[in-house]
Amino acid sequence: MVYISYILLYLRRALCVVILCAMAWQQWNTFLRYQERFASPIQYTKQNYDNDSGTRYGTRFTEVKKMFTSPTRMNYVAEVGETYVLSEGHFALTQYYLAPNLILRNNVPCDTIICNLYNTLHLDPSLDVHLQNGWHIVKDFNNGIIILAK
Amino acid sequence: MIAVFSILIALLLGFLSCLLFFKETKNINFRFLFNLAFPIGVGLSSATFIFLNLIGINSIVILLFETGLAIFLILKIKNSPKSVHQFELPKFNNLKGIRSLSDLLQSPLLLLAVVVYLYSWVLDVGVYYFDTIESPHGLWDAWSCWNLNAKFISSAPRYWPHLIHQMNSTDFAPDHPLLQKGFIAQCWVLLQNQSIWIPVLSSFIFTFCTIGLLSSAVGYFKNKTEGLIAGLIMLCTPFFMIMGDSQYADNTVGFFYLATIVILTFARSEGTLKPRLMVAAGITTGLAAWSKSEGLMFIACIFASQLVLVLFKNNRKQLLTELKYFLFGMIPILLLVVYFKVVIAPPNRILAPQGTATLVKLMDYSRYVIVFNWFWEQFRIFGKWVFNPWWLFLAGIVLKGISIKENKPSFISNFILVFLMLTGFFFIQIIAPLDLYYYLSTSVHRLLFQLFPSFIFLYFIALRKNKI
Repeated sequence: MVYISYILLYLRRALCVVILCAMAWQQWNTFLRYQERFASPIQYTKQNYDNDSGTRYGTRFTEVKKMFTSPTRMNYVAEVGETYVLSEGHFALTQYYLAPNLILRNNVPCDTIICNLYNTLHLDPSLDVHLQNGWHIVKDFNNGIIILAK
Repeated sequence: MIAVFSILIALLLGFLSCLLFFKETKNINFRFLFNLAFPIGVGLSSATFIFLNLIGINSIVILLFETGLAIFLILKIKNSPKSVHQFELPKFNNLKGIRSLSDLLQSPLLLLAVVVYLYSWVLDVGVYYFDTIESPHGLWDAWSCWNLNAKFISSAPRYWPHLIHQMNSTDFAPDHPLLQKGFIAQCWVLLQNQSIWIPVLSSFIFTFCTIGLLSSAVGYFKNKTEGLIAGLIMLCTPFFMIMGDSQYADNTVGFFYLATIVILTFARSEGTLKPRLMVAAGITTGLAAWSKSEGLMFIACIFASQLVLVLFKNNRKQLLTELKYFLFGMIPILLLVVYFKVVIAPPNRILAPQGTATLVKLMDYSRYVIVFNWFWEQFRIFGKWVFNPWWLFLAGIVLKGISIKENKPSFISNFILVFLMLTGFFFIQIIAPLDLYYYLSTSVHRLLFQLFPSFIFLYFIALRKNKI
């Protein structure tokens, strides 16, 4: 009986070692995915800090935000013909960088419109429905961001 | 500087509260208190900030109020005569340190567990850092919901309720409660700068404190080696770290589920009434509801799961008294959540009234099949491990066997709680008014991860206490 309990004890220990080794192996795989970054963390930080796509996108809105000194509600005009995912992404990023201004696209009429035309960059007055219906350009930031008002 | 002070005050508030809660608990260790206290501090600080902000109090005055509260708690602990006899914060002394070291050297298994744990912890901190540098604003939900709403609160401290009320709930989920948003906003207001490092730090606290709390709680109820292995399961799960550095609130709410279950296990571990721990469990439940909308379902499930205690003679007698203390801790925070949900937030996009459509969905058998298969698939590829981690759990059962004699009532009620949450998540998928595949693909893995730390804790509690 004593021998059996000793055997069980050592079996349990052996299995425990196997579990710990499996976990260490799992972490080794994680390490391999980040190996280059761990090899030169300072260089990686210097290259990538403040250089991510989100932060770069946000620089387009630095000047726009200065225009609105108090929270403003505005409607949103997107690039024509963009995919659903891209359209959602650009809309959400516009709202994120312009908060606390409220960007609305659910048919709530506002006095201001923000156009985020990151491909075409400028409005074509002969084609744009807003410009042909009494709206005018308040400011074109020359980076695809255009503010319209009535 | 003032923002750092604000964070320190939040952490101090949590720590002092936990000292008071665990005054009557024997042999509690510093690591456990540390990991439990910091997120509770963040939660209490967030709730205080939002409440005082809503009644029109300036951020600096709020900070002074929190400082005053911390001083009050210090005096309360100092002047409490029981604290001298019943609670002693473990002090580091050389003798104890040498004994721990000798334990470590005498048990090669414990030594191996410590080495793998430390290696994993350091590696995960590195992974967290590198992912943060790559996406400092977090992933989609972080910037388009949590950090965006924090920007509204911090940029317009007077008008934010009005602005959030006008937001479209399908776009930015503004109806989720404000724990994370409030804490980030508070720091940003005091910092006078919307530094990306505040949400990074907040998520870091919740992610690593979940691991620490799980590890130290299992260590308390079982042994050090098992505690380390429990923590290691979280550390080794790549998706848990991704959720952390994505700055999503799933880790936040998951922490409070775990904290509630751990505290309830403590409260019922000796069969006597422990009012302070029941108040603490109420607070962590309230903070779960303050973290994310799923927390409200947690409240419903926790009450349903307590009913099972009626079956146990010892627990039956004190259940009502326990619930009274539990409600005492939960209600102030719950009132804040209800006020936010009713007055400020736009309707929840998942639970918005759909009329008969809900009934039609509930009767649609094909939806059950799709959802069940999706859940099953998630179990198969769980956590982005290189191998299926469920084998480890199976190995543990083979290694030790199952026995729930020791904490039977609390284990059964907590197990039912987790099961009810899982069932709730399943039915939310069935009735959701969104495209089913879209909703499944964006939510199920995260919902399961909210429950994962609690599941691991219950798993280790259920394991037989064998010598390893």
